[in-house]
Amino acid sequence: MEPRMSLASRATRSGLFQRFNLARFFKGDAPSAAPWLLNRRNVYILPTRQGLFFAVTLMIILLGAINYNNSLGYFLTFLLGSIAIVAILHTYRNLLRLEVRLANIEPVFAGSEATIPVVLHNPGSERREQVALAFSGQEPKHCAIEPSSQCVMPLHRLAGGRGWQPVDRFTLASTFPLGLFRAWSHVVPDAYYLVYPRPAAEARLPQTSRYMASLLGDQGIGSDDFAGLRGYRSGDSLKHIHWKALAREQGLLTKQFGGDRSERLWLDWRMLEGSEIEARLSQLCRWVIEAEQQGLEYGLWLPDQIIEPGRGHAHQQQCLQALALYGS
Amino acid sequence: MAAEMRWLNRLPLPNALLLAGILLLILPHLPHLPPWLSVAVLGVIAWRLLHDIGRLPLPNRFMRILLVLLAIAALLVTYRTLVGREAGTALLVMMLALKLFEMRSWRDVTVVVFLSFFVMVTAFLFSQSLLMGGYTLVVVTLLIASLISFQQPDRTVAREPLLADLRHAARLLLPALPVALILFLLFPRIPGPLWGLPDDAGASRTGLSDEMEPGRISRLVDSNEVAFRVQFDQSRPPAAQRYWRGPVLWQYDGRKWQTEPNRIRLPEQFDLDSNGPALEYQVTLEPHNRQWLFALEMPASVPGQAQLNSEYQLIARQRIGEVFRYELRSYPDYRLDPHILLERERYLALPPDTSPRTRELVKELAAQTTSAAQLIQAVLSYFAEQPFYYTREPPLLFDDPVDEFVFETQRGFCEHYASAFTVMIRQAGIPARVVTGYYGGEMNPLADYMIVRQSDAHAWSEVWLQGRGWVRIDPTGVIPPSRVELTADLAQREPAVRSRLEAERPWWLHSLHQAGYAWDALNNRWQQWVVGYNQNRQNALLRALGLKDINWQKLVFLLMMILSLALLIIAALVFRSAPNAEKRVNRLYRRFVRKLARRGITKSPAETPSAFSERAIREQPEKTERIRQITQTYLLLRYADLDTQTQHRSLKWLARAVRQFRPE
Repeated sequence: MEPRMSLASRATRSGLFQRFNLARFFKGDAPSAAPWLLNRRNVYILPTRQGLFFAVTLMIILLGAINYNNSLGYFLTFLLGSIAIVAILHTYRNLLRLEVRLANIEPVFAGSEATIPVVLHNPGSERREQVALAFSGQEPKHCAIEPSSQCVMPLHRLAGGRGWQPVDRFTLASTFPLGLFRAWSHVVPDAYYLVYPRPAAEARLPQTSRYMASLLGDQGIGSDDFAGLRGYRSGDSLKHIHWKALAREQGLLTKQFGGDRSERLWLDWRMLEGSEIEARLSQLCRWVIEAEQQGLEYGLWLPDQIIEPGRGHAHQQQCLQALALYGS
Repeated sequence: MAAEMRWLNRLPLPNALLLAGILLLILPHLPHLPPWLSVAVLGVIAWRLLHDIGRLPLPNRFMRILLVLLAIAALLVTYRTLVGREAGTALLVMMLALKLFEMRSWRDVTVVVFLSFFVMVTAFLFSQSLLMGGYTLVVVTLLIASLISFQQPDRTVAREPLLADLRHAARLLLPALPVALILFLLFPRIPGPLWGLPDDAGASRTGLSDEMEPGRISRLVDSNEVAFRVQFDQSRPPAAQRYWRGPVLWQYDGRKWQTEPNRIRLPEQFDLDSNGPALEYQVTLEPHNRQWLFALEMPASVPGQAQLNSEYQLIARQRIGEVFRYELRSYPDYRLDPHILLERERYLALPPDTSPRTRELVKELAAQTTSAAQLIQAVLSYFAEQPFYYTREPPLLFDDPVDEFVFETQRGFCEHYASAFTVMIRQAGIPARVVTGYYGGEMNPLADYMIVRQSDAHAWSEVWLQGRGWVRIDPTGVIPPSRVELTADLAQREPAVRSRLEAERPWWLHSLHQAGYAWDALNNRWQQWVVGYNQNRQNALLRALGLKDINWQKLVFLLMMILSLALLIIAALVFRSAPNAEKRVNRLYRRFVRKLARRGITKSPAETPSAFSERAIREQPEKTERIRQITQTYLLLRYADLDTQTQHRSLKWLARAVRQFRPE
């Protein structure tokens, strides 16, 4: 996916100032290209609520130990405190040196849910336990990553409006092993996914398109009128094989149909005169889907682009992309 | 926090770990919890376990509230309070148990674990032994492992993750131990208490009391606990002189011997003549929650933070709530108050009409003798000649204990003899008093110190004779060995009896005895360095490190420096990247090639591992199997696409095989 928009340029500030910038702490860095490597500069750690509660517990035990002059009480306090400190290191290490990438994001229609497959690669020799992954405000998903391997976590979010949409900041976090501390890192990817217009509800195809029919006449690539037989070529539909001829041992013949003159469909911007731009795009989008589903041959006429008739997945994608990016 | 929303009802694995930890945590508390609470707590743990495997529902909200109210009421009935050591501990244990019924979210789990830490620390108010310390480490590991377990709620039940969690807990605990040790040694010690100690802070501690009545001391004899340990600078007193002076009792009410501390002076000058050499020694006293200290008769110096009263009893300025160490000098050969006896009446007072039958006896004996010394001898002979027995289980005495003992039961323990003797001597008009303390002490043959146990508790008499002062008379000592029950501990202190017993002892009991000494030596260290570690010890340690007159700011600075250094080292260990599998495989194979090269079978760089292995087999036919296996595993690890587990296992096998590989 190639982003078509110019990106927010990276702020030019002194390195130290940038390092201790609070915005980075809460929101993460400026968008950057994959892969994102989690390092000491972008992984943060703070106690959780349980961690603060734990600190209070230790303070109370320490006060008791001082009051009763209880040596083992002192030692227990110090031992638990030290375990918590070692746990900070373990929690931090659980995220450190992870490599984050995005797999290919399939285009989606506006109004539906986009699936963002995040690839987490663990190059180290330690298993990463319970890595939580989420867009802000979402319930996190957890996964464990074996050493020298990777796992793919599909994140979901509302697709947003038509056109190229940025993959927003998402957060990797871990409270493993004790849940007393939470390490996190914001990833702000400089990556985009394509959103097609929302398909309109009205599915009926336009009938008035025939005046734009091709002047080249019947070429035997329609589907309605029988136009003769020809030798089988690989790729011909099984439905069009002349089975009776095969049974008569006349070899593989393909029945040819004409009618493309009448069924070549132009989906035309101008047919929707009077509607809003987005409504027109929505309707065209629905027509493209319908036409493809019915196996029709269709072309797309837009003020800034004309796509010659055709069919198949690639053709449909081309048309939908043109609709998605109309006007941008 | 999202994690709090995870429901934990059906997590048998982490729950089982946590329940095991809590069960171990509760065990040391069972002896001092009221029996109903012990049963209830074990019941709750079992209930929760049954619930976790899906056999039993948890009580509903109404039931839970009812249970809390019932339990608090039962605690109030049992203790009449909810604060203090015993009641407070019981309350915490009860809260922990009932919280198990309500443990459904991650937040509840943390509450349970943190409550467990409180319960753990209350156990230290009852015992701070070495065993307790080691046991605590086990429980902490289990609780930490259960926290780790609860962090991974999605796993299935298996043995493997359970071990993995324990291993992970150990990996947190082991680096934490040295850090905790640094903190323990260098954290500035504030001499407590910060607020008042509850009255029962040391209630169940065993030790002598300041009263003596029949049965008091014999109860102590059952306790094998250490009362104090003594390190002598040069010579040790002979066994017969090991009288450790404790509370001196002079007030007799017809049954009980007592003292009145307010009526005892703290004189500036002492009337003590000493002959012979002095003994210098240090005593490490176990906490007994009383103020008195013990000294070998007769002390001639006063340690800091203590005083010597006119009865030659050492009194500390505070109750001994922690291990207390003091230095002393004593003269075993002494004359105490030889010239003048102040407050003479006090040591002659008896309730009117007490023990009329012994009074008659004393009158008879006095008629036959001419001096006080002769009379004392006559009384002692009476005990020696009449059928008096020394036993740990004397019959009960009712109205007049002295008369009943002397004329009826004639069976008693040291307190019976000391009491009867002192009463009889006073009836003869000679000043006398009862001294309690310890008699004996065994040297630890593996370390140079003496152990005095609670079972060495003893009582004897002191009589005042003109010109000689206070003379120690131990009436128990005149009972001939034939009338001493062998099981009694006093018997074991008599050298003759002791050697006979030791000869009869089988070898295993002997080694058990030796192990006992080693254990006590270890305990001694533990008491001195861990339990008794305080501000003084800390200063001594710092002085030994060459840091003189250090204030607490400098101490905090030093602590921070050492702590940072330790954490840096740990961080380096945690963050170091372990060599990846490929590097390890290659390294192991090179080691294998080197081992063969030492036997003259060198691998040329162009040779493939398989060709090299065939050649090595021809040279070393006895090792065919091993060489082939190692080469195959190496090739598999290098080139085959193995899953993580197989890879891990093969690598482990290869490491062992290469290490053990010995070419001929």
